[in-house]
Amino acid sequence: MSDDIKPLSALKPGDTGRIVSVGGDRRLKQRLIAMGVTPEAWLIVRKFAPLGDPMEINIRNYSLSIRRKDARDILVDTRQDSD
Amino acid sequence: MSIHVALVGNPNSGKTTLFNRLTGTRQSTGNWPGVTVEKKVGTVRHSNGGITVIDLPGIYSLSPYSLEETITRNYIVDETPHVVINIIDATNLERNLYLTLQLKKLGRPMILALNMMDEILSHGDQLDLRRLSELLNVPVVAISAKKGEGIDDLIDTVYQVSRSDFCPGRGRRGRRRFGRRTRSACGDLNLHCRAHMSQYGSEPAETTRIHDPAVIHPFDAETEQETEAMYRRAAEIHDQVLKHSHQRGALSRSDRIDRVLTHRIWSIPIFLIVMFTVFQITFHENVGGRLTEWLDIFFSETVTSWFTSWLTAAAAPAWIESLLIGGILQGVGGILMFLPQITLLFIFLSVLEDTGYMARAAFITDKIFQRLGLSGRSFIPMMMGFGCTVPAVMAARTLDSERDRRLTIIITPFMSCGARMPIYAFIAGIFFTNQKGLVTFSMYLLGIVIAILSAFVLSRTVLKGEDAPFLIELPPYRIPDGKSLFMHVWDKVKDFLIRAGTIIFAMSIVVWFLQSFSFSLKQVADSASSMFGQIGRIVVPVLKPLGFGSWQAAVALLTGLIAKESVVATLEILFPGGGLESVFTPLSAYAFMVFTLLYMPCMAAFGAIKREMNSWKWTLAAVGYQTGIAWLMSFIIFQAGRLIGLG
Repeated sequence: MSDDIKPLSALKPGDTGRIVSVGGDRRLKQRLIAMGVTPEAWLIVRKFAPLGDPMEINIRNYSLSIRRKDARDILVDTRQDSD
Repeated sequence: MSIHVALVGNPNSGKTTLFNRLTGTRQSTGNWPGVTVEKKVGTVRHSNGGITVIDLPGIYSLSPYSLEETITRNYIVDETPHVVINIIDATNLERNLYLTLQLKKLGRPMILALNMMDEILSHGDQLDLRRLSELLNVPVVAISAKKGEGIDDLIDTVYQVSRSDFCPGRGRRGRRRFGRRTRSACGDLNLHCRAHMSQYGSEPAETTRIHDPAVIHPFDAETEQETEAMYRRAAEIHDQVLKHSHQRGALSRSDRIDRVLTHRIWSIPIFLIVMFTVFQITFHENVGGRLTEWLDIFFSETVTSWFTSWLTAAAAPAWIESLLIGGILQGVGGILMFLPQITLLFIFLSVLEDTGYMARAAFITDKIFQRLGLSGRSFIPMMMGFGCTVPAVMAARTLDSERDRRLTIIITPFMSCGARMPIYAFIAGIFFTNQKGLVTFSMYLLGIVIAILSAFVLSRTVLKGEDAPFLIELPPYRIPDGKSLFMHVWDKVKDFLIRAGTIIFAMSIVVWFLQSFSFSLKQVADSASSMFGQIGRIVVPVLKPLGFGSWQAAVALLTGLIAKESVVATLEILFPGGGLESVFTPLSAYAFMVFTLLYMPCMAAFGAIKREMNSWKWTLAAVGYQTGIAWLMSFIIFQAGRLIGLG
């Protein structure tokens, strides 16, 4: 795995990237995918909640709150691409 | 005949606002058969004939993972509405289009209602409606549900699309619905139909995958690929029709507001100030409290004097006067006077929800819920618990895991509901005149603390397990729509009024009867020897250690099981001119309030708990736990208070 590919939970506010894969248990995966957290989707990390968790990301032009624990199995390619 | 229209859309897409715009007050609310998901039906009046609109649950996807999704899917497939209106938030086009693409596969005639078009324009974005309509092959109508723009266009389009739907022979469904003779008789309609279809062609409908609500569709590799492909398509369409004026990932207006409201440091004090303000305005003696005071004077003086003079003029017998004034007016009036405060509370809860702040509150506090072993989603049912336990317990349905659901249902009744408020106001008004607000606030706080401690303990003992994933959308901040706000609050207020007019009315008569007559049906002068006095005395020994071992307190608590407001109604009837001090000290009155806060909720809430738990064992365990905690807490407070010399 290249250094550019990181779990979403390891990203910092302001970081951007494209989702490579969505893992985790079936129930979580279902919910994530139904809400548009799918491979190829572009996202930006907005912030962490005041107590450190959950995190707010902007994906497909909307804001989603997700716990770090649930973001562990989402791999994000943080290399900046042209589009 | 009436045209049936199903309204489908994502949460936060403005679906309810559109529904209210379309149907106004011509709505009825019920439940979907067998489940407690709310079903709303309304009608549109129009010179072309009526339209019946069914408001389907707000959902993100049609793949039946949840009850709401299954209900929506089955409704469209089984009930074949003439037209499906898919309302989408134009400012959140890409994700909303995913549901649109899934809906299209169900093969019903569809209209895309593109909401929040005013926001798109004010952002300076460009949205190509014609291209969107071509790409999706469905008519597209731009609307602003909040401002009521484009609604007439939408209704006209419904008529156009529905006319073309009556053509027989279209697809398998048409052949099943109409016999051969009907089909040939409708030949001319077919012409119209074909003309329409060439404009908005139809794809083969996917009607085979009907799922039993009980069966959750397995999420396999195939569905996963399908979903991904659909999202790719949604992204493609989005890119082709929408030109953003801003750069990808740029901060929106809501993001800028969130810089303050979900700020690392400021968000928590702001959250506390918001909650404190809501309670202050609702309960403070110069705001909500003042309104209640006026109503109290209105009922206890103005209305009472009307009745008295009217009864004297009619030379009515004494027992009628006693029933009307001592029973019904005391009981029902004693409840109605809290109407302004309850209305205020519901207005605040709706505003917090509709502006989008409630989701932020869940975002800010989620970590705490995580520690407690709860999902942050429990926040919403718990907040609703301040309004009424019944819908709050039902809202627990949105939680994914059975464990979270059970836990939330057990602790939600500890959140002090609107019906319990009159009890604090009444008792604090007598015993704690100078600290009324503080005493009331302490009740709310105690409820929250007990709920939190219960969650902490139960999630580590009887209800162990993984907590469910917590994903919530943080919708853009929006100014609430006045009409929807009014409808929502009116719904709750109506419910309260109906209860005052039915349950409380009947209870007041029963209470009056039980306290005026003995078991030998003789009218008694001293209610201590009445039926109530007899019944109450059986419970008294259990309540003695809590400091309120009087039969009056006992029967007030018993009638509170029918509806919590009855505690006040009963005490008002038993102590018509005041005199509560003869059976309570300030300390025992406080312990009594604590007991009413925590003990088993009213019958309606009990019913809701039973339905949602779907198990007698869990239901009885829940109410047993609540009553046990109530006894224990009152015991501790009363005995500790006495030890330090308060009693």
